[in-house]
Amino acid sequence: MKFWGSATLATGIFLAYLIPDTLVFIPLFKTFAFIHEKTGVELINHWWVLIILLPTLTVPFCTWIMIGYFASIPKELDEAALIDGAGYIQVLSRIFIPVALPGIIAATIFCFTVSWANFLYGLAFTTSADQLTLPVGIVTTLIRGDVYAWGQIMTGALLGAAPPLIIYALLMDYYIAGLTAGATKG
Amino acid sequence: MAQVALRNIVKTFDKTPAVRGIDLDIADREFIVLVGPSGCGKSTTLRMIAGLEECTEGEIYIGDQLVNDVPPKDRDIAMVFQNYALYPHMTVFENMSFGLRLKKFPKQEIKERVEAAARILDITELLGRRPKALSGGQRQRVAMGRAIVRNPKVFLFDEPLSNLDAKLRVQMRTEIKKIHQQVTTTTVYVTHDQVEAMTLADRVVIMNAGRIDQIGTPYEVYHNPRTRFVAGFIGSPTMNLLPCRLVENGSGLTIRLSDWLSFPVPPDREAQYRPRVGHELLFGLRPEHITEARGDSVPGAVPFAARLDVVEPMGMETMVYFIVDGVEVCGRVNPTSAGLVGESMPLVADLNRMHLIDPRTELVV
Repeated sequence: MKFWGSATLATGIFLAYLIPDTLVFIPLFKTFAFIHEKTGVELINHWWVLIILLPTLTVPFCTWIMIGYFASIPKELDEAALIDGAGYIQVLSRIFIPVALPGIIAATIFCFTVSWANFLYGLAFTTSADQLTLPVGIVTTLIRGDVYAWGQIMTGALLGAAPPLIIYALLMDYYIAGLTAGATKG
Repeated sequence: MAQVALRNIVKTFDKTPAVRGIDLDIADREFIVLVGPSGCGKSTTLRMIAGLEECTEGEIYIGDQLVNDVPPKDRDIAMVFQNYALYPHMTVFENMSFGLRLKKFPKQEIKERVEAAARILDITELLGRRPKALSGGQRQRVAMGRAIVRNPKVFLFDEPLSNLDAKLRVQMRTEIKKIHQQVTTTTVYVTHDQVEAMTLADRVVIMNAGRIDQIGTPYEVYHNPRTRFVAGFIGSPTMNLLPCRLVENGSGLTIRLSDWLSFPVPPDREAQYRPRVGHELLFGLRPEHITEARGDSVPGAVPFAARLDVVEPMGMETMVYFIVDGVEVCGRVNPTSAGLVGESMPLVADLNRMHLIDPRTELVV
């Protein structure tokens, strides 16, 4: 759907995404320190902070995936719905979202995989063993100097790989549909 | 059921005019066809009636209501799109009932209406299918069904047959005509195909470069075109248009087409054409009014002979082409009497059906 400023917003999101996340975590650290100073809320070394942080990486990219996906839906479809008596919210909920479901699922899988496998933010913002994410925890707690606890590292790797595998297997059909979006006329 | 009125409608896209001020009155239950070449503003006009485009200037009335600021959903119209625009995630039944479900009609009534429309369109057995399991013609029927079930004030068709193959297009054209005879709703139909326009319309509206060139019954626009554009656009093969000079020759007026070909003006047209004596004009005559010479002489039918350049047998008739001063002229003759290429064939021109066009004003004299 077109709305005022939509093209500018899309370009803005794209440009923001060009900034590498390795550049962002130092200013984020300073921001967290500032918030702690002003409000007393401690944001460092809490696993739930990553839930707020990781979407800053995934949402812009997913927005781009979804812009492309929505653009592939013929505009006559929402015009037909408007004429059939739907309002804009109904067009979105009853036509666009169901039609774009493969794209939404593709974006969801992407978000999950990127967030689940993210190493940098986990390493930078969590420190104590009870707050570490799995990828960071495996490396920081199971490798001591040059001593590798291979058995535990492998177990951790297997456990870490399981959720994405299960999700891929369950949603594969939709994911493939998402990847071939726009290849044929709807 | 309702009449539609357009009052001085103008539409500009970023300073590019698409529609340049049109006035049109469509009567209740009338089947109007907007026809014209690509970019003439016909689809834009339809979309403005639908409310999908806002008009830059002018007023649109549906029934007695001014609808300029009424959103599409409240205009009580139904539209059939060129690419069908069926909802891919819904079955045929759900597609057709979508509008009624949004308006919270009782389930039983929705079922009855959808089934009635499905019977008219002969798609009852398809109601459980998804659009992707339908052929092009079936999808087009579903798209029409979705319009019919709503029982709207106005049907809008935007080139609905353009995506179908030639044979199916002819078949669906007849279907649309039949459906309009059963479901007499005011209809505005847009097409660039003049055959569709002629066969379907109660009145044809011929648009050219954002303006209406002529409004009339199919018979009127075919036999009495008002402008050069209409004369050339309507009819297939198109009307022969030849540069000519109107001269006085003592007893009457003569149309000089070339050194070897001149036609006398029929006496009943002389008064009408006399002010144009000496002018450079365009002579228009349809191919079916240039036929093989027969024994009997009809008033206004002028015999002449021409060397044939191309002969095209069509089965029922044969098209013969000859050159007059560098301009190709087409005639429709009986297959049995068609001549051979390179040879001279006796022909006859029915000048009662001729037109003279002033090339400066582009108007038929």
